[in-house]
Amino acid sequence: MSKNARGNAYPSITLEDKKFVIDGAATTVYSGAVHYWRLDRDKWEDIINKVKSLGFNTISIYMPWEAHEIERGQFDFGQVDPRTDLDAFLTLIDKAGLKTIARPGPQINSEMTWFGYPRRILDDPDLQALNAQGGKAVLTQVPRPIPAVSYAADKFFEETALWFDAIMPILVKHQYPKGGLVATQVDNEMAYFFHINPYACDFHPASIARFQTFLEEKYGSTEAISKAYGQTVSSFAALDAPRRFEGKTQRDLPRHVDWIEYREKYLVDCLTRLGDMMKERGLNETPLFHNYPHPLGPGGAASGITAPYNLTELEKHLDFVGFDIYSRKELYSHVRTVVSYVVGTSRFPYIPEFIAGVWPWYLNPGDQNDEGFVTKAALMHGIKGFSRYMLVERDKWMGSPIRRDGRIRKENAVVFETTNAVATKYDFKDFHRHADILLMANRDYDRLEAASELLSFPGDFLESQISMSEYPNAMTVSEKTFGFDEPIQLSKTNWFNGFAEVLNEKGYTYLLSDTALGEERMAGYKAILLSSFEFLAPEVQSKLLAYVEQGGTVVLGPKLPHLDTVFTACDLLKSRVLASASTPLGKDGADLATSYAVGKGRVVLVSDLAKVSEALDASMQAIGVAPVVKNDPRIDVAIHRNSDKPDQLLVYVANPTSEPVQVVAGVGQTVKSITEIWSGETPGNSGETWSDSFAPYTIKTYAVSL
Amino acid sequence: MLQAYVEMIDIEVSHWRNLQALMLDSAKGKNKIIILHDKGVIEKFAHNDGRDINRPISQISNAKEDARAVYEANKDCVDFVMILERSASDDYFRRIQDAWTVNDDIDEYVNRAFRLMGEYDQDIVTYPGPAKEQLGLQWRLGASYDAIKGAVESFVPAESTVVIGICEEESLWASLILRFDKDKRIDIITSVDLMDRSFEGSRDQIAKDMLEWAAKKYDPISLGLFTDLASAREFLQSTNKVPALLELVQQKKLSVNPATPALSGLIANT
Repeated sequence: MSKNARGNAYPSITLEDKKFVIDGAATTVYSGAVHYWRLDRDKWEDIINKVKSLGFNTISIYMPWEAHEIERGQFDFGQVDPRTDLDAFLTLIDKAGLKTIARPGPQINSEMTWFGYPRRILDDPDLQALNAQGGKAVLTQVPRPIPAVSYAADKFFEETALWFDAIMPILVKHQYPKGGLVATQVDNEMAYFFHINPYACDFHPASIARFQTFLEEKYGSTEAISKAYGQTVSSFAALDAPRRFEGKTQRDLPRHVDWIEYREKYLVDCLTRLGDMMKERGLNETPLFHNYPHPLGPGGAASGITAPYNLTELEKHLDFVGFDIYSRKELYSHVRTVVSYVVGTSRFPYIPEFIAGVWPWYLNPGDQNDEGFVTKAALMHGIKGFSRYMLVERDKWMGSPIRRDGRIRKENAVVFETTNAVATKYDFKDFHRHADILLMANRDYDRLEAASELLSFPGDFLESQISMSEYPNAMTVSEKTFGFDEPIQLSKTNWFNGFAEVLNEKGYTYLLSDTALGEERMAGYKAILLSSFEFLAPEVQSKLLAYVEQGGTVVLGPKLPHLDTVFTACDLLKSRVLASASTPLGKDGADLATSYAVGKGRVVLVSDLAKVSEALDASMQAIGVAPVVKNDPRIDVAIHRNSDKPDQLLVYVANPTSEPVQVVAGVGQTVKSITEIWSGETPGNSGETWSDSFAPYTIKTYAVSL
Repeated sequence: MLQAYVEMIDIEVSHWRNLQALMLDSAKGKNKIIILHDKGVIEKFAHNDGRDINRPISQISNAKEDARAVYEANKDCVDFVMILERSASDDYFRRIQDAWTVNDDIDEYVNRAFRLMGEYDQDIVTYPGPAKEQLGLQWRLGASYDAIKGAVESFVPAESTVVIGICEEESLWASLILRFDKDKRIDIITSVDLMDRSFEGSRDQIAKDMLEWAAKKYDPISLGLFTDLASAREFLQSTNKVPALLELVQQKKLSVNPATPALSGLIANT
């Protein structure tokens, strides 16, 4: 019996080395979403068989409180409407030999009018989240805008308990090994009902009380918080949350940043509580997971993967956490960012909702070419499992491969069928993405960015009335320096993107995570890159030092921090580094960076963003890290290795541009044989490199023997 | 105009994509300069691409004039300039949300939000303006929400279906099928089903095939409107819909078949 999260131990299922292991055997989770209550009952069996015929081995199922509750505390599971007979549906799946992933909410969205809740829940003022002005926090969605629910209110959990009491016995009945249910999702895309904007909500009195408790736990005394805030705090109970960003000086920042940190904790705590409620009702023999929403941060790079999300922290309580993905092919860099982050951070890199058709208010929907390209992009960057959402079409969803009457859209289905077949044939589950380098988003600075958001506006499924992204970004955050040398909340993005661009263009192999990542996970990389300004959390400084002392290389810039996150002196990293022997890193007489020998490793300080490219080359050369071979900086290459077969590689090459490219690529080793696995073709192979023609937006995968 | 449980089913993605392109306009992806200020003191002055921009103003004294000045100084790299006063913006969004009721459908709610933006025309400003017609996701129908609602009230019988086809080069470029309930709220939004059959040929042939197909699923069909893409664009751009419609009918660029009695009367009287 292995332990997964927070000491969770399951008799049959473990998550090991990014694999989903059932009864000791690694298995694939190639899943698709089916909504039983939206389908004619007499179509169920045929549709389940169609799902299986496309090579899927798992069905992912929302279970809507909204559709099952007749009146408060009374539920229909087929007695009134035969389409709600969940037990019968799960039994058919078991009979078909498929696995099940359950998604019982309580929030499921699912494009339902009331987001999956009984309307009475949204109507109840006690349960409504509040915006900064004390009013309702309304999400603009189709067909009815709805008020966000406050997950801070105990009453919400009391109501949810009624739903869980009703549905959990059915799920427990089918829990593996009694049935095929192998994992359960806790809630859905929990993100303040898409009020991502930091000052949009939740200012419900229960949330404010939790914020006060959070502050008390964090600071321990009113003296400590008074010092941090630069003002006298008489009691924690007297503190209000910041209702908008009012920072003028450095001393004003901690109280705003605390709110951002609290918003992360709010989500983690609420999901933990809901997960515990599931376990208490017997769902304690299979993993629990969560899906953060598709993070449409601007540019798809620096924003959207950290605050208000904290994947590492949430995986201390749930077994795995992913991000949903609904991108078109033009957003390749976005897919790379999201997947690289999940692979670099999660215990089991799984995309809980992975594009298969879209909702009607998705602007400019793509087609099967987008889905095929994005699918390969996610596999390329290391995803190990997914659920196609929606595999079977239904109300308020279009373009799925299986129609609600059971017909198959061949042009759409071929993408999914081929993917499942190839991934199975080549045992993708046994390969892992090779990465020498970890690029870390710096959560301290991402929180500052969110804290210094100048506008506050509600979530909107169409487009905000002011056309701004709900994710704080360079268009809406403060430009003030707050006594630092530069506006860190803006410069940090330039540094993150600067590192990422160099890694991509040069072809270094890397994954993404953020500074919340555990020390044990950092140890697996030869080098870690991150932005670093005047301040940095002491625990992050300590982790970096420990990593370097053990032989790792940290490349950072532009500064060594000398303050902690409340801006008191803290030079753990700086004092150790500056006490070490230093060597200038140069090229052709130019001073690029300074390398410090610290313990068994080194710290490389790059002070000038313009010198990152050459400084990185020099740093990596010094530790024997080489980029892949490629003839065009626009081309992306990812290498997947199989621990049991070191001479066998899967090498993905992507042309994510709108132009054809003649590619020459290599892995720095002699290639004995090579086959492109989707087409079966053999490219020209010189031994050290191979060449191939790439149409626009093409990804190829090569089975390479060394 | 949407019923609470409106079904959006069996929609042909290519048709839907075309309709979006024809009728919706998003400001999110446009090039813009944003200026955020606190009672005239500028807190933010940035281009969405981070470009270097000309800054002919150092504070906000007259937002409309200032937006125009910034636009003129940077017109090679922007579609519009946006100036927001922070407190006014907070107040605007508070009022939008406070006005929500559980019975609002999305159109009513958003329409009210943009109308309300008009009350902030000194503090939520764009150039070109006005902001309420530039920002967000805008319908480009050439008619107000109230006018469209009025047209439905006048020309569409309760519990009936409207079929719309837009043709291009002998094929069906987009289709839209809307069923109205007893309160004249839309309860089904769909399109033709290209897996059932194709729709090719002359506009008249396509109209006939569409009506025949739609009648099997969504009878009674009270109104059918069939035109070509250029005429659809012309009609949507016109701000005086009745003459525009009648002219297209006269030019035989628009077929109205079947026509509701009210619409038949209107056409017959011209």
